Amino acid sequence: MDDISYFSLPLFAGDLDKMRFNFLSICRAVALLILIGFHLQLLLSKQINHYLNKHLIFLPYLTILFFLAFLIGDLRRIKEKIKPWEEMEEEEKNYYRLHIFGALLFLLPLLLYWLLPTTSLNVELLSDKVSTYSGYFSEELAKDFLSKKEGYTEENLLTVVSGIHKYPKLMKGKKVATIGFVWREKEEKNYFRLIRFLITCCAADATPLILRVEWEQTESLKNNQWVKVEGVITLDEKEKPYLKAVRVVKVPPPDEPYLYP
Amino acid sequence: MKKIILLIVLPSLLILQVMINDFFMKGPAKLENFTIIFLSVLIETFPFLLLGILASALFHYVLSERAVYRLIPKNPVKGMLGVSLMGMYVPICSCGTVPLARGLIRRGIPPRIALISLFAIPIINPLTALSTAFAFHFRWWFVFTRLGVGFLLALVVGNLLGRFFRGKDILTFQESSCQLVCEYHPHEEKGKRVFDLFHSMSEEFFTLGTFLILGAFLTAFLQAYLPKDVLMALGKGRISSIGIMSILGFSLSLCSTADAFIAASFQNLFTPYSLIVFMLVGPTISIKNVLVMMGVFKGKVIGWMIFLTFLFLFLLGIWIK
Repeated sequence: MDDISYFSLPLFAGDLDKMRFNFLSICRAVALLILIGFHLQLLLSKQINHYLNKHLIFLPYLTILFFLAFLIGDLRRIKEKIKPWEEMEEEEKNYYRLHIFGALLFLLPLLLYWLLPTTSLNVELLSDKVSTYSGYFSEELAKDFLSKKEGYTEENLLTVVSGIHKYPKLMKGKKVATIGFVWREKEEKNYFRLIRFLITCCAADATPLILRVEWEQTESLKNNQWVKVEGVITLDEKEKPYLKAVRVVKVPPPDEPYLYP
Repeated sequence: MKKIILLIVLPSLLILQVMINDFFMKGPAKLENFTIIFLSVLIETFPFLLLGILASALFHYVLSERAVYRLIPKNPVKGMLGVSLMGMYVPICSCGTVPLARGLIRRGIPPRIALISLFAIPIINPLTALSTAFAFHFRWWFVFTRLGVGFLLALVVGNLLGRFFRGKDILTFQESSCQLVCEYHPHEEKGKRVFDLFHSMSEEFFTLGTFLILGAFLTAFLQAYLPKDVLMALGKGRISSIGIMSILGFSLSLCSTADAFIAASFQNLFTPYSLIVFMLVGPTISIKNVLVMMGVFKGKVIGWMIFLTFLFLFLLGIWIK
């Protein structure tokens, strides 16, 4: 293994071919450095909250530790002997091509992250059929919400949706203020859906929490706009609860866009 | 090599075309979702993949293959149970089990026992259980079903293959066991220094990570671009869900410590059993593993192995609710 691990730069011809270093180790070391920088940037800017459950933030730290160890391992191999590219068998060349392709592939997620500024998951992830589904309700939160006194209480959308799901009739007349973003699937005029994603581990398992809000000025709202809604929980003719808004205020996206079970 | 590149490049170009079209027609919203899901899968899965690599590398450095062979009981029944549970103390990854199985056969261990080890070790091991528990938020049904069905799969397929090929040589003549995707393994290296360990682990990470990136890419694409209604219709059908997850598991080739996170991202859309199928096919008979096995086992053996695995998982899926 050792005697074939090192080779002259395979991608260029001429004098560069005489260069004596392990090109693959250099590729990996650079990729590792960039990966470490990417993880640190996510952690320091707190953007990690857009990708991962906040209770699992220790995971990227563990990753950084591993990458640092790998970086040391790769850096120590950079100056080792090289087998010239032209002396390699086709299989050996394929091995290196595949591994260089692998190292380059690691730059793809980072390029996407740096070139495309993202905020949080948006309404494009929803569909009409999904809107009737909500995967998680908390009995504890629902009871806690019901036990609160009259008057506006500020609650997260999980608490409100849990209360509505568990005790729809008892919730009638409850005043509530909550935050989420707007979804107007078919440009509805009198109502919109207030959305917030619930994530268990990471953004890939996001489940939408959905609350129907009636408001006469819905047309002034656009999809994905974060709003704070104050209103009263009301039952429609089919005894299904919705929020009759008294006031809707546009707000900036929160630092923690997702809710956790 | 060219075939592999075509297999990766052509579908990637098609996917990119869909993404670019959508970007110019409808704006960046779907691309944003794609990027967030893609990155979140990678950020969450990296540490578990790395822990798996560490366990595998430590095993190769601390224990010799000979020591492992000595651990297997000579009695056939005890031998079968022994190798089925070997992953509990030898938590090596799926492509590391291929040379191990070859070594077992060469040392006179019956092929069916060696083939059982091929299926059981990547699935019935503590790191796989831990990552599955984490990914499914400690819903133990997923952990125990994965390990339980994995155990049955190993016993059934291993025994049937052993019966079909009794008295026949199932190994190829090639010495090299892991061309292309597995040469990074430290199992041939003699050095015991800690820096060599780091270097070998780095090599392994970049190889397995390539498959993980491709897997995360496809997962994010399916979630962000395929209409949810279509995905839900396919995912809720008993047979269609197993079929789709089998194909995904086969093509994504994810490591057993990483695949649970991809499976969990489909939990609202697909039946639970189909997710188990995904987590069993990936570490056993995926494209990557088949490539590794081609250097060790005869084509007929691999063909039967794939057929029997799919048949077993489909029949079990029809039988259980």
